[in-house]
Amino acid sequence: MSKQLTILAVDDVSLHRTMLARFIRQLGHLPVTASNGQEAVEYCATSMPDMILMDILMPVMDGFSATRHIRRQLAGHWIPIVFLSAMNEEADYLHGLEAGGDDYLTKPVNLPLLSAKISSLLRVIDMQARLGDSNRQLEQYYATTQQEHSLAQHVLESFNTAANAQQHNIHSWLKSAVHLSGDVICIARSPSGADHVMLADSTGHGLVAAICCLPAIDSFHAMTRSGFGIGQIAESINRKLYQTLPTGHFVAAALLAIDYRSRRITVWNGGIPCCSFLNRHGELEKTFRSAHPPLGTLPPEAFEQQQEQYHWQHDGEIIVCSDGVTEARNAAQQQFGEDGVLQAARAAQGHDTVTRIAAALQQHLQQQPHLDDASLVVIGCQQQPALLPEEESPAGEPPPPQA
Amino acid sequence: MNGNDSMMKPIVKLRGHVGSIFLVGQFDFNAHKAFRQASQELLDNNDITEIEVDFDQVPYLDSSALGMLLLLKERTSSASKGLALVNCRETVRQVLEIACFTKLFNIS
Repeated sequence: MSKQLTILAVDDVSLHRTMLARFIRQLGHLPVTASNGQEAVEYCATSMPDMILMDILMPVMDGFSATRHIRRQLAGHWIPIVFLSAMNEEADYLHGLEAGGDDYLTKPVNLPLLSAKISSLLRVIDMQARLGDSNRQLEQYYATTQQEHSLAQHVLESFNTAANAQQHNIHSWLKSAVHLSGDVICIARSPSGADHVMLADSTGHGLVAAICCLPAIDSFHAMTRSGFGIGQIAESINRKLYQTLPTGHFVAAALLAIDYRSRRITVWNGGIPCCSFLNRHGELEKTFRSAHPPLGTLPPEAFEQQQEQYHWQHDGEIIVCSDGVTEARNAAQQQFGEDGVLQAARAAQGHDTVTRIAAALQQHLQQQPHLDDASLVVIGCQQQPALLPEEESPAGEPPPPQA
Repeated sequence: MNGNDSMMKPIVKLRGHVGSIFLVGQFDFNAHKAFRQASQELLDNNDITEIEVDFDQVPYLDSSALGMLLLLKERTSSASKGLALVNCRETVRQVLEIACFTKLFNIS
């Protein structure tokens, strides 16, 4: 409290200024003076007093206008302004508060009262300073967290996308509710030439959800490369997640194998709401319903590998999406639904289906935010094998093991 | 965040050996603490052999709610108590069915 303040005294009467300056000095503070509102505004444009004592009626610019100017000028930074008035007028008091004043003193100013006002305003200044400090600390903490998150995001993204095979017939879309997504899409080619795709949705959002997905991503890529079928891959991921994640955390996932030569889709679906085959005529040929609890839920001995198979007749697309898409609710609490997904897919007629579904979802949500991570993958299933010549597996490879 | 108005408020009722947790409102991550407190009360009560979670007033539940149910299942079985999910409405039933919780829980 013994801190020395710079106090600006504004009064058009020279005698009053001298008196105020003497009082201020007696109280151990540093006085600065201005003889009208305009001078006060100019002073504040270059210097920052700790407090202002402001007369009301002055030539050139009165105290109310000066206060308004100074408040605008110092937006974001607060300094106490105390009005001085000859009469104890309620109207002046109100007018002063409206103009942005903090307190009011009647003239002639007496020393004890000015001293008390300064002490009380000092407490406020002190509080302001501490608030400012806490704010800065919070901002620093926030910045650090942001930095760590973007680093984690970078690592996780490269972990996944670098491993993902780039297939011209597979398109995906991801939207995370917070910085990091708990949804992942993995794409890999098995030695047999079939494509393996996994759409996984981990409980919750953010860093925790993203970390829970890591073992699944790793197993998916390694086991696909080694020629395992999706049932075996699902079993292995389930065991790993069951052993590592605490109860209550799990990863809903659909694993798909697309064999273009024999026009066969094989699906293991544990907790993914939408996995459907739409042919090029827009007909829903097949829906692969979730048949298992999510990965990491069941103890290894209770796990079931059982998959569903489908041979497609006409060219078409498989559309898979997480509950962040189907359960996205608009302001009227209506869900986008599987119907919303399939309708948008039909309208796309096989052209840029992923973008069309994402756009339809955005239109459904309007201004509502995404509350959950959302992911979507569309796999084109053509009559011709989707293999490009340079991607063809080298001759002499062992026959593909299939689950 | 969504604020407290959408937060679930559980009510615990006892009927002989059956203890019920009536959930009111959206059952999601924000309900974690309240749900845990309500279930602890029943788990600690030796007269209760059967715990029912009543979903009649729940319009929607998310995946973290499913996680809380799995946790409760683990804790009821280690306390040798029964567990049932009752009065599940269409939207709630749908979420439970997609997760195949119908295979893990007694649902009505």
